[in-house]
Amino acid sequence: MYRLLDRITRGLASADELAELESLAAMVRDTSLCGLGQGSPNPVFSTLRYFRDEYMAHIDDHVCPAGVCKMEPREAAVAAGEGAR
Amino acid sequence: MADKTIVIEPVTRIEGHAKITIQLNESGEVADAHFHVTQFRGFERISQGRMVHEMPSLMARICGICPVSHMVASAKACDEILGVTVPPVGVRLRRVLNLAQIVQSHALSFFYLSSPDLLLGFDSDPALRNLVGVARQTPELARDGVALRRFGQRIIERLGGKRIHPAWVVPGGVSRPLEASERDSILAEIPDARERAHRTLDWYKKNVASWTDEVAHFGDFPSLYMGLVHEGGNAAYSDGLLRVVDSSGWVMADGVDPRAYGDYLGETVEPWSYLKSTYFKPLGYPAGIYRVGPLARLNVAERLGTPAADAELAEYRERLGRYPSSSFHYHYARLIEIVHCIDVIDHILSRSDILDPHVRARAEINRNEGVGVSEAPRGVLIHHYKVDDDGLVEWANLVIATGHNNLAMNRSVLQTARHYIKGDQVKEGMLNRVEAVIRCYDPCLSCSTHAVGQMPLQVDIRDAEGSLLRQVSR
Amino acid sequence: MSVLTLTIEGRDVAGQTGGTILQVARENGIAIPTLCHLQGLSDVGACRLCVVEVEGQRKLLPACVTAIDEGMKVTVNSERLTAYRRRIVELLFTERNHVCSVCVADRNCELQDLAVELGLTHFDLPLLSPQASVDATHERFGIDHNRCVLCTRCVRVCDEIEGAHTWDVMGRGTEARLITDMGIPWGDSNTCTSCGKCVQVCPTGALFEKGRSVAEARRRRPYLPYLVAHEGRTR
Repeated sequence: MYRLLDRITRGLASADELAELESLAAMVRDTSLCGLGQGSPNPVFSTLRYFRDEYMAHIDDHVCPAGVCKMEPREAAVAAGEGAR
Repeated sequence: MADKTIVIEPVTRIEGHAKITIQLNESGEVADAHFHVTQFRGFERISQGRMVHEMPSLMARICGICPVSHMVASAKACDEILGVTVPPVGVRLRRVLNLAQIVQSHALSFFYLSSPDLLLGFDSDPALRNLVGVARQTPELARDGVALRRFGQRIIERLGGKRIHPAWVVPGGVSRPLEASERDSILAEIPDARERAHRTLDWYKKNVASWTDEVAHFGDFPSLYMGLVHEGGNAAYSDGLLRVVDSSGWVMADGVDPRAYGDYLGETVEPWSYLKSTYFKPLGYPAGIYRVGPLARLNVAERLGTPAADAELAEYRERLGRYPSSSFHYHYARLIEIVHCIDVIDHILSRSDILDPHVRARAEINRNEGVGVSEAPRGVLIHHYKVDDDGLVEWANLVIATGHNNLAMNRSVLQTARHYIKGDQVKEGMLNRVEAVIRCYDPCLSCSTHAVGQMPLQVDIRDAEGSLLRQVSR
Repeated sequence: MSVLTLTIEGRDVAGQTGGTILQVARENGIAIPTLCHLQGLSDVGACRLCVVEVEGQRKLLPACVTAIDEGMKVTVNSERLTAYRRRIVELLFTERNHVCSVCVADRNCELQDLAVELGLTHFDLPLLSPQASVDATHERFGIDHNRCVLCTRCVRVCDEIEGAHTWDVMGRGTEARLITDMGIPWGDSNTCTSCGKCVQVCPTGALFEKGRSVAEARRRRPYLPYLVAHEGRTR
């Protein structure tokens, strides 16, 4: 999950990877033994609930609306997309 | 006219990834040519830190065409690290496996990869110049090829459990003895295989006169030859000691224990290729150019040791001389070896003790270093490992047949290109000959994943600055 | 001790008080995939493969450590559960370096069996490819951390049955590793009795007998008299 989030914040992720993140987070929540594990994906769920548009901006428009993330150049994103799988 | 470079990339109908570049000088003649191996595998690094018992199977993954030869060489290196004597039946079963592998690989090389050039012609339509084209023109030749390859593959499958990458060869011997039913089914297939091998050899001998020009320009030059021989001079495939002879029959080295390979073979890395070039140390680089594989094996051995193959060998020497020097004759030598290997398999499996269940010796790590050698279909293969006291691999070095032949392949490419290519009006058939000379060596570029003959060939003709002048595509 | 009745996969079944869902399911021939569970050892619910849906519970519950209750309605197989299980096995594969083709346990491996059973044909997640080591200092056995799934069967068998407690786990998350004693080489351990039980219970090729080559691992679990052979899967 960290890896996927990191890729999103660097502008390297695709929409498929966001879906991957959501399914992974759901799995971790549902199958964990203790509250710590069950709660660990909560930041992902709450940010997705309230700020999904910002996630999409990172992925589709290659910008960080809050100006926090340092995006990799677009060419790197294309190359990373090709090399990811 | 400015300097030009012709690039053939990728080279087709070989096992692996490679390209050829041909540099033309100002008057359009071939100035230089190189054979580049563009893939990098790194098995010597991957094996570090692994248990020595995994090595035969791990190293077999280098190649899907000749995994068995790697397994045998690797297992022999491991035998030495364990300090064991492999039970005689274990040695023989490994030998059968390696011979079966040579039959199937030679069949692949000759029928699938090279027979399209020989049968249909070097200048024929490239779209039809493949095994399917061969099957259309002379179905029985194609059938023989498929059947011989299957014969070899089925032996491997019966002995090792599967056709590719069987985990049967282990340090100390083999993991499971042979069953009577398996032996019987292999023996039952031998007469048919033998008949097909002889039929192909006869076909080749009938037609060899039509390739005189290629014979003369497909890497015809004096060099050294190296191969394994048994005591007494019979050709050896899984055991034996190294012998090196030159083109006039001088024995440069004989009875060389493979452990001493470092004293005789030097390795150099050329900037244009990932493939190491090996040379015969006493003569230095590049004078110590030598060849291995079928042609070299027949040159170093006094005889093969089976009557039918020795009769063919006598005829071969009568036609070509005692030490044939053209790489074109790899094809001829390969076909004789198929005949020989089938007869040796027959001979070994007919022994009464072959079902003996004692096929493996076990031991702990007793030495920290081991060298193993075998004859792969394409030539001498050396595995050399160093392990720590717990049996974890610390260092590995592999000297592969295609590396031995690297210098010779480069020289052959240059010779063929000089003869066939003049100016930038390059015809497809000319370039095909440059590729075909590489196919003579049946180089195994440690690669198992490519559909044969399916890769597009693209030739770039560039001027001295590297800008593209012309592009020819198949 | 009283008998409780419940339904698993729509079937009416019964079990003793204190029994687990996994026990009752297996007694009734209902298969639930497991990895860290081994009959004869205590259960830790670590691998999460046996999670099931229980009606009225929001959470998924691990069948191996969930006691049955009167009137419980349990679902063992659903689309969601299968997807989760497949993902769990995928995470196990991608976390270390599992290369079946050169593994001593090839074709004799519970992780491999699970991948086949759950239809895991490829990985969507990237491989972590950690640099994990092999400890071959022990005279007879070795451990290849590349192939360890941290099921802790070895830790439990060593502690609960042999009574040596040589094995334990050090580190967290992807850094977690099995250790012998206080993290010293296995060959230097003075608590290890060299009984080999850990090797016999290992579901993968992580713990192996030295001298065995690829696909030669043989787990002799029936010979451990105190352990019942791992049931539910035919070898």
